[in-house]
Amino acid sequence: METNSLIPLDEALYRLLYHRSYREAFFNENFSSLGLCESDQRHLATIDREQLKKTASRVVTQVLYGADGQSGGIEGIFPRVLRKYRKTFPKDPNSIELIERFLESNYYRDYREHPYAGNGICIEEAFFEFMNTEKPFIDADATNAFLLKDEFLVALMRTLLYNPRASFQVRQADIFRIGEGYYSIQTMWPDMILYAAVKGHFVRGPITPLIAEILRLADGAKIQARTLSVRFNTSIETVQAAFDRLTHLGFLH
Amino acid sequence: MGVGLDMPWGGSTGFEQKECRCAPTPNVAKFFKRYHSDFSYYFFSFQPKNKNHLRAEEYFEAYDALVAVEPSSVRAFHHTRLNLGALEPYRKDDIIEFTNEMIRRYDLKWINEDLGIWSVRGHGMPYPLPPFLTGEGLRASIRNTREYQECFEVPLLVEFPGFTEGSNFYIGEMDGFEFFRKLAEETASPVTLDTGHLLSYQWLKGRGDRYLDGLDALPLSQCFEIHLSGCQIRDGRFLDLHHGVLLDEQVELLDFLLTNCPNVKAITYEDPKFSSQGDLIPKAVRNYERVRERVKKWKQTA
Repeated sequence: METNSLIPLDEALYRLLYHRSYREAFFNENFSSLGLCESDQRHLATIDREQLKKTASRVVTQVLYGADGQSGGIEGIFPRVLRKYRKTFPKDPNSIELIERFLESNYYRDYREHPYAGNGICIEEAFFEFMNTEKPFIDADATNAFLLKDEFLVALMRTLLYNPRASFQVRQADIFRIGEGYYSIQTMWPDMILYAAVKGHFVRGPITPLIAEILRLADGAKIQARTLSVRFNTSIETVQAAFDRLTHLGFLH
Repeated sequence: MGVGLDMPWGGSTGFEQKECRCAPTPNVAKFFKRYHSDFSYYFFSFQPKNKNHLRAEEYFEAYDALVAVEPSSVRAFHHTRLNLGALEPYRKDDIIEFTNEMIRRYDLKWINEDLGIWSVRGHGMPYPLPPFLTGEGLRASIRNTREYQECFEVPLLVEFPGFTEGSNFYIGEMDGFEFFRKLAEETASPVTLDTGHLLSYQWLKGRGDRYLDGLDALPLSQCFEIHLSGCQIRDGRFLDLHHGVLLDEQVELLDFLLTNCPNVKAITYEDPKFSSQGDLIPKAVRNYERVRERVKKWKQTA
């Protein structure tokens, strides 16, 4: 690994905990590659290597299975993606190498468990973005990208539902705010699937192009039922019923 | 004597959601009822319930219910968000506002926090790491402590950090006791000495067989609170397990601290483990009783 400029000691700690390559360089006493000034190199030399190894291993376990070993980890958030990954890559049977690559990525760095050190994204979005860059997985099966997106949106919408004043940001361009909630529409031909977290409800299911258009227009100018009925070749009553249903669910005011 | 309770969400002991209301699990209420006469104060440790921005009012329902279980005791609060050992800039306004609202609503008498690195770059640790034992680490810890001291409406007690086996290591050449003493001197902060944390450091430094050595380097005269939480020694390694079972060494260390810390006001049995009926687990009883006896005697002579 290469480090061009000097880094502060807490950045070194971050990399020791989360970057396997940095940790290995440290264990191999490749000090010149650690990006530390001489005195910080001296400070690092005091680390109990066995304890660092155990701590880093515990970090991987916690990210994978959650702090209590039962919930909140990637395994619980993306169960189908991980099952598919392990089936596709049996040489990584416990997904440990996958999680180590994730921890070393900038997507994990952008994740914030605590918002006080700067804004960031949630772990659901960080892992989703990371997995999208795992080309061997994405390319292994034509359905993997959809599986990943589906599991991500279900997890994210549920998280947003339970955290209406979330301390993290959402940065996917195809996730929209609507009223006090969020929604996203994905096209899995021939269906359009709506994922949403609105007014205490989690929604996932196929929708018609008319519903998709109403949602798209929801935050814009006043929606004209007549215009939509003409465009979608349907009755005004049908459009009005769609308005009423979406209003009842909390998408429209 | 007091008790310190960790109150996680959704576990068998802590807070539970029942019929849309948050309340302590029934065994917590039973524990307080069973041991009410043993304790004159208690603290509860902060555990975040969700991923929202920190707002005190989200916690009122649950903490109100906890206080209703044990309304008469003096109360304190064990923080877990202060990140006193952090070198990086760390936004404190939400934390301070949250804490002061908690202080006012529950009439908290003090705030306690381990002097540690609880997160780095916004990522939590499996177990808080000690601060960087360097000059820069000391300056940052002093700066962070002072900021909170200035803003909190009650005293902040800084606790000597733990050095448990398997999820903990330290960086830097300064002696842990000396580092802690300098911080206490510079900030004039009252401190908490956790017997398990002190012993874990002694074991780490290879002083397990003479664990009372070197303790006079600590800021003993500034010690306000002593913590006793369950620990274990396995294969020569020290584990700060918080499993309720105290070691004989902790009881002996308590004797030392009671003799040598003239300003102690609080002795806390931290994170007891109890049954669904609120009874302490059998393994914990012997040394719990020993501690109780010692506190009783100490109170008579203090």
